[in-house]
Amino acid sequence: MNLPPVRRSGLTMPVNNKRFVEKAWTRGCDFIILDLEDSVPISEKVKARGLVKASISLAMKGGAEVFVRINHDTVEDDLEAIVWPGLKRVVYPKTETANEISSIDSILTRLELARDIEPGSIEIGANVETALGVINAFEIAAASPRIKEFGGGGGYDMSRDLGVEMFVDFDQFVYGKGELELAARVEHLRVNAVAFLSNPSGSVSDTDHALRLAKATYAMGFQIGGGLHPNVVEPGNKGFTPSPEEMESAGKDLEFFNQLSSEGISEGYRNGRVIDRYEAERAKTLLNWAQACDKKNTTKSEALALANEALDE
Amino acid sequence: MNDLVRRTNLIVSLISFAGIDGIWKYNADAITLDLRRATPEILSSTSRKWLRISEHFASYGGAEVFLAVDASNIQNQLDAAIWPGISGILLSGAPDQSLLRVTSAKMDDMEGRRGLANGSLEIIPLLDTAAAVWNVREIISAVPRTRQVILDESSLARDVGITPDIDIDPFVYARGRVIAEAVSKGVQPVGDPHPLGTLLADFPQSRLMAEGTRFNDLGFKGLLLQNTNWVSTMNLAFSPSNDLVEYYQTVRRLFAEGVARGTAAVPLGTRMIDVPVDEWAKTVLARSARCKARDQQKADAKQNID
Repeated sequence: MNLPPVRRSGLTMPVNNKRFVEKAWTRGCDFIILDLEDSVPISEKVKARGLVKASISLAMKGGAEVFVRINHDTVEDDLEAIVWPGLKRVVYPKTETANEISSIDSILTRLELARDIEPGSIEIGANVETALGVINAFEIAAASPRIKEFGGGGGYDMSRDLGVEMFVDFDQFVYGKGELELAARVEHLRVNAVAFLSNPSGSVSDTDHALRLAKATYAMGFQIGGGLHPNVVEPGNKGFTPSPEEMESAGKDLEFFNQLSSEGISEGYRNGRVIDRYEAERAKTLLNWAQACDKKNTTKSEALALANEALDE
Repeated sequence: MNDLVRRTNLIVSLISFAGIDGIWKYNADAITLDLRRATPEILSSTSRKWLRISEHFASYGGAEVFLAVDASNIQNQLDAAIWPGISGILLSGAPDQSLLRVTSAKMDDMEGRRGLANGSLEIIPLLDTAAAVWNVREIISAVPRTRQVILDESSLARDVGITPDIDIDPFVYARGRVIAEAVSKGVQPVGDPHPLGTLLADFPQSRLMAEGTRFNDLGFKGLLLQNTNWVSTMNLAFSPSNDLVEYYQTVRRLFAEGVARGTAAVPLGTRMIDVPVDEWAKTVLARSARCKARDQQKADAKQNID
């Protein structure tokens, strides 16, 4: 079984904020999104584009993958400025049609070739943030093999498009989120979804809420996090990583099932639960995910150590 | 999306509603006179005069006036209903686009004969069956007269065999589908809150306000109401509160200060303000201004009566 990408925690930051970008690699995130879109004022856009190339190298020093969020309306100019070695994903906001994705795919193909980047290696993150995007979800999800993960359907842009408040005590985005998840499943993509936990304060730095949210999201079968404040990085890493107890239980389930299989039995009971081939698969997936998380932690630790050594020198 | 302020649309039966001459006093943004169960006698020439008088009563307080019609006797209903002064019709019983196209063609003709500008009358489809909810995209795209669509939960409950129960909400998916499809086409989604609309009970003000706020927060732009006592509460629920207006004024000020400093990511308490938050603030403030203007318009209309 291949190890999946590990993206439990992420920080989105304006690429023109030097302080944020310089510290990004020390935060322990699995991925970093350098933003050219909503956190960058229009007057700073051109300057911000010019900062991306150096910022990619800087941000990846701690072992994080680096994504760049471009603007919906200046795709070509933004892509010209951001496609450099180290870029893992282009995040395209307010995706509404499959054609938009196809167009980005074509430009990326050209730029990868021109800049000596492995063809097809840069992913596209298609952020669906409007009702039109929701109703075109299936076409968007299928628009490019560069889309590896798909979902979303919430956030401020969606709330604005629907004309609803962002922080309310129920999940006002449940329909769109469901449609996007279905589209992702149909296309065999990883689902980028988040559980609903009421957060009327709208806090972006509440560590307790972040941990509960990550755990709830993970319990629903999703593995991708993200955030805006360094406080939520560690809760993300922790909340999406299987606990030692979960790993032990999965290991025993698998062992039990293998024992049954060797005796020609298809299912049996362990601790009051039916263990069959589905449960065995679930256990394998969990252990595989735990292994991927462990590997990611090691990668980040080693990268961080190297970067700190370089600083000392 | 269009910027109509039609927070409340009070629907009353022309057959059974007593006190039509005072209907304008309830302060609804729109009043719909329901002709759907009208017999041929009611639609007869004598009664048509009464219908026209009723249309005038409904508009006294500055409300827009609609007529609810259905497929059963549509030509007679339109003949009786369409006169200068009405804003359009609510059309029920359309499982797909065909009835809308046919009705719109009839309205083209009626508008010509009654001195109304071509295409000036709206058709607001009532989604009252599972088929209509499923076909919402083609229904709202069928004719350019459609600026609002109503999810008629009371009728939908009957269509799918659901007995209204205050503790069970069976229409989460249907609402989401209608809202997403409508918003994507620039059409305003309007609710008919199940089961409140079917139970017609006297709920406490706080419960009504909570339900109205929930529908507003789902993305509906107003409600179709059968209970006159709910109108003022729902007008409030679908208008930005003073607290919200004050908050978004602060958002706009802080964001502008941030942009002047070269950043579009500005903290406000534990929240983060960026472009979409500022854009939403603009929307809320504009909506508030439009709601206030609409309230003033209605107040002026009432003052003219006095």
